[in-house]
Parts: sequence; C-alpha cells; structure tokens
Amino acid sequence: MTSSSGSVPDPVPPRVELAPSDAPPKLASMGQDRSRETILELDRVTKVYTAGEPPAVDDVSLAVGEGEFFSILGPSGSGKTTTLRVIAGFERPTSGVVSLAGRDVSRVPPFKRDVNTVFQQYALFPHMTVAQNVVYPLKMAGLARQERDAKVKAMLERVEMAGFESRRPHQLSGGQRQRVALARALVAQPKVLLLDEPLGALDLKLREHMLLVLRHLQRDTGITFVYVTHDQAEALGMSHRLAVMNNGRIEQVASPDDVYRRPATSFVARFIGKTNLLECVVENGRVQAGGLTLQVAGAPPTGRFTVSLRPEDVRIGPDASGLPNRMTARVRETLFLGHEQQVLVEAGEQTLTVRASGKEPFLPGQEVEIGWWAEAAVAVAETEPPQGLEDVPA
Amino acid sequence: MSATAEGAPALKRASVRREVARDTSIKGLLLTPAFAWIALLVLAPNIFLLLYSFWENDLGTVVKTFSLENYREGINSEVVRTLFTRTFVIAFMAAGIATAIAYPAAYIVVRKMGRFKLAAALLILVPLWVSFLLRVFAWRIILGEQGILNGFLTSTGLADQPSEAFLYSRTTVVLTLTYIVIPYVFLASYTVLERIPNSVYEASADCGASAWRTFWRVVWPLSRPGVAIGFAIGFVLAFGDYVTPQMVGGVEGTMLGSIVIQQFGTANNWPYGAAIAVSIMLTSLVFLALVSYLSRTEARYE
Repeated sequence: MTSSSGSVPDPVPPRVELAPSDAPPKLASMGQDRSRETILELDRVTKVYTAGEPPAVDDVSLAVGEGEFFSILGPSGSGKTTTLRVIAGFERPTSGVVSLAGRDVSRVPPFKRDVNTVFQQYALFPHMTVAQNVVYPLKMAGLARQERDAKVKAMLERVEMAGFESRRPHQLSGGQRQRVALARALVAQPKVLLLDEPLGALDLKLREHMLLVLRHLQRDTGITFVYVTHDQAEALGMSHRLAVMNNGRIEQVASPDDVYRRPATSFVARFIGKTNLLECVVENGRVQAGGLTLQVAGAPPTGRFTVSLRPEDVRIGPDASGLPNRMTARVRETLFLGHEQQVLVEAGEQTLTVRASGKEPFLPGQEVEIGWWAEAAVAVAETEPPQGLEDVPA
Repeated sequence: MSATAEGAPALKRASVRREVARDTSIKGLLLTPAFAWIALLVLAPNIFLLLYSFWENDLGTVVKTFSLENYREGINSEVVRTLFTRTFVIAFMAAGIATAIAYPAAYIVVRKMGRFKLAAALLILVPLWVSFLLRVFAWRIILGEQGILNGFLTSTGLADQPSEAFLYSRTTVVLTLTYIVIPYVFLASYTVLERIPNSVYEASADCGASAWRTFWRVVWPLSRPGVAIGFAIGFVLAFGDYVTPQMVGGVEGTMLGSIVIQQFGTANNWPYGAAIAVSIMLTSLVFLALVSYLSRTEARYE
C-alpha cells in the first residue's frame, strides 16, 4: 500500500529471545498466587438457565485465596453476575462444585453460607432503619444484644455512617446507602464478601471515593472480596488478581499486570485497554503479518496466530531506532489528547494505533519510523467476541 | 447599575409567579370534571342521606326538623343492637377468612408462579367480571335443596334425602361473603407483594434468614399495610351488604343492611333508614382508619 514499507528488519530466526537486560521491565507475575490458603473454589461450574440455550456460566474453575481481592471482569452477558450468584447460593450450578473453606456448598442454601453480598441496587430493607439493617445478620446469627450493638456501632463508624443509625434508606443518598449495604454485608465477618457491580449506580466522583473506601475496608478487615465489574479500571486498580470472562467462560486469570501485559486471548487484549491485533502466519521460519516481517518472542514455530501489540509499546520517531522490530510507516491521522497523542499509522497492509508524547507533531502523510521490542507483541489465542450486547469497541 | 441588578431578579420573580399561577389554574381546570363527578355522584347523595337521618318521620312523611330521635331509636332498639353485633361479627369473619385465603394465595402467585403469574392472578380475579348478584346466586345453586351439593350427597348415598340445612344460615352468609370478598383482598395483597423486589428476599437470605424468618421480618411488615387495606375493604363490603343475607341468609342470616332496605321500602321510614345507613358508613370509616393506623409500616422503595 505504501512505498515506504521496504525497510525490512534483518532476517532473524524466530523464537530467539533477546538478552534480558535489553528487554522492557516486567513486574513479578501474580498469576498463580500460592502464598494464600484457598478459601473459595469453583470446580468446573456450569449454569444453564434454559435447556438448549448456551450456558450462562460454562465450565468455570477458580480458586480464590484467603484475604484476596479478586475481581471478575467481563462485558454484560459474560456470566460474571451468574458466577457470583452461584457462589452466593442464589443459583444452583447445573454441574460442578463450589467449595467454601474446603467444604462443598453447592447444595447449601444461601442463608446457611458464610458469604455475604453487596447487591447492585443495595437491596436494603426499606422498612428498617440503618441500625436495624446492619444488625439484621447478627440477629439472624443469634448474637447477644450487647455484642450486636457494639459490632453495629464499630461497623457504622468504619464506613463513616455513625450518626445515621435511625435514618431509613429512603432518607439517604446513593453513596450512603451503598455504605450501609457494605456495613450490613461485612458486620457478620463472612468468609467471603461478594460485590455485584456495587459502584454502578454512583456518579464518577463518588465512585472514585468508594473505590478507596472499598480497598481500605478489604485491607483492614482481611476479608476475601470477590468483586464483579465490567469496568476494567476498577478491576485493574483494586484487585490482587482478576478473572476475565467472556461468553460464560473464563479467558484468563492473572494479576492485573499480567492481564494487561500478557493477555491470553484476543478478547482479553481488546477488552482491557487499547490494542493492535495483528494476524500472523509463520512462513519459512519467519513471522509475516500483512506485508510485515516481525520478530515475536515466543511465537509458535508454524501456523497462524494473533499477536496483541499495545499502542504505548510502539515507539515512534527517533525512539524507534535500534529496536528489533523497526519499519517505516505513514501517518494517517493524529488525535491530540493533551498529555499524549494517538497516531494512526499505516505500515505494510496494517493500520496501527500508536501512542506518542504530545510534544512532537505528526502530520498526516508524513513518513515515520516505528519500532517495538520482540516481547511487546504477545501471541494470543483467538476467541469469539462477546455474544449479544457488544460492549467492546471493535 | 444597581437598579438593574435589583430590578432583574424582581422582574424574574414576578414572571415566575405568574407562570406558576397559570400552571395551577390550568391544572384546576383539568381537574374540574373529576371533581364535578365526585360532587354529583358521591358527595351529594351522602349529604342528603346525612340530612335525612336528622329529620323526623311522621307516618311516612318526612318532616324537616332537626332531631336526634332516629339515632336514639336505633341505639335503644334491641333488634338493631343485635343485628349490629351480628353484622359486625359476620363481616369480620368473612373478611378475616378471605384474607387468610387470599394473602397466601397472592404470595404464592407472586413468588412461585414465575411466568404464569399474571395468568394465575387473572384467574383469581375473574369472578369480579361477573355480576355481584350472579355470584351470590351461584351459591344458591350449589347449596340449595335442589343444588349441586345435595345432588352429590343423595346420588352417592351419603345422605338419604336433600337437606335444607346448607342454605339460609349465618354460616352460609359468611361463606358467601368470604367468596365475594376474596378477589378484593387478593388484589390488595398482590399489589403490595409485587412491589417487593426480589433482591430484598435475596438480601435477607444472604444475611442468614430462613424463608420463614424472611417472611416475618421482611415480607410481612412490607406487605402488612396493603393486606390490611384489602381486609378493611372486604369488611366494609360485607358490613354494608344486604343482597347476600337476603338471598342466602334466611331469617337467621339477616344483617343490618336488611333493615335499611326495609325502612326505605315497606316501612317507609326514610329518616330512620338513613340514620342506620349513616351508622354503617361511620362504622366502616372508623374501622378503615383504625386498621390502616394499626398496620402502618414506614417504608419507601428507592
């Protein structure tokens, strides 16, 4: 397409790793956190609502460690809420086993499970005061009055709701209701706290505040949190580990850093952050992608595969010199965002999104050098885009 | 400069006031037909009834002088006192039994019927489409001497001959009124139960409450006001009814409404009939107020 794609990198056999010192820095992997005791385990859990239709949750296996902040991230309809409801006991798995602290609870009704839920719409009892709402689980547990009152008081102080004891839910703001719901779910100190998009109904400012409140609560109480959200920023920012779900399946379970830097599938790469997906084929030991010859660390020896390349991993201009993947590209469009700019470039038959600092101007039609490390392009498994509601920009 | 600064808000305030006044007058205009309707068909007859109850009767002619004689006569009458008590007990029993049947039914329909919920609710409400008279008459067909029940008993040999005992008794009146009142209590119960979001049930279970405790601590307090209204409406309907006792009650099942009819009819004593009718209405009102006060729950959904 462009005459400038002639700059082909030196032929280097694939699967040659660069010296570690040259490689971009990597954070320690937390994909398999073995330092924690497993508190919650899902073993091949499947949930089918209507026979004949695809399962809402499809063969999901998970292990959540004690004291972990674990998120389940996915677009709407991906099965994340159903997974949470199976853990809470509101839905019975069609097959598979849910274990809590080593005990099979698949057939245990919700009121006998040592987990509590913060509901999306809070689900406070409208006829009870704040104090009555929060004391409810303790009453059900049969605690003595003095102990109950002390715990409710401490809990309400912890969520900054002291002084609101005799208010009713409809007299509270959204953020306050949210905190009461949290207090009610935490007061009995469950083994696991389940949160179903708890911040979805709040406005942005309140959401940011509540994110901190949640994180501090989790850290201070040491209770395991399982947090369901469709917001990648929430999941990346708060979790020790997260599971990314799509079409009822888990596509990846890893630390936020790993999920971002080493997405396992094309869906994960696209759903979390922005990325360039390049379809590659190995020909004569070389990785080809739409007129480009690439060096991809860990590329398979033969066949077709897809790589994900983050826009910020692509260097542009003088920064690109000396990188193993280097080529000339033509600027098609730039989008100035203040602190940075997004540059759409054409290289070979590929169109790539590149992030550059906002300082240097790039003009449409201009020829530029671009380049990236072999590790920057990550081979991902190709998976189906989400069925139904399309939440992911193509 | 300061003049404009002060003048502008004042001007604005005046125009806002005008705007609001215009809105209010339009709203008033739109409501006029409804008010006229209520005034003509509800208020006026009741005011006449009230007036009549304070007038005197002179051998079938109404004398328009104020007196409390009608009320005094009613209170002093053994018959009226007996019938008042009986009517109260019958109406209370009918509404109570109807509630005991309709509320659980509404709970089951709302919580357990899934997608057949609406169909089931309609099925229970179907009798309301049939004329009141026919619904009462249906029980004569079932319980009468030539009725279905007797036919069943004689043909199966459980009874030698048809019995008269099923019809024309106080029990029959209670039974029929219960049947009449059930759809109303059901509708009231259904409406409040329907409003309780599923997540509230789940939250209660989540907090460790069994279905039983969830019912008593959450569902009952939240639905109590609606059920009470249903119960009170049932009571009021039964308390003022005269058709049912007349058709299935016999002498034993006579109720207060029968006297009203009698006074307006054969006895031709409108003021006395009006006084008893007013008493029925007042009792109903007090009952309604009392029940809704006792059953109130302070709750508002978000």
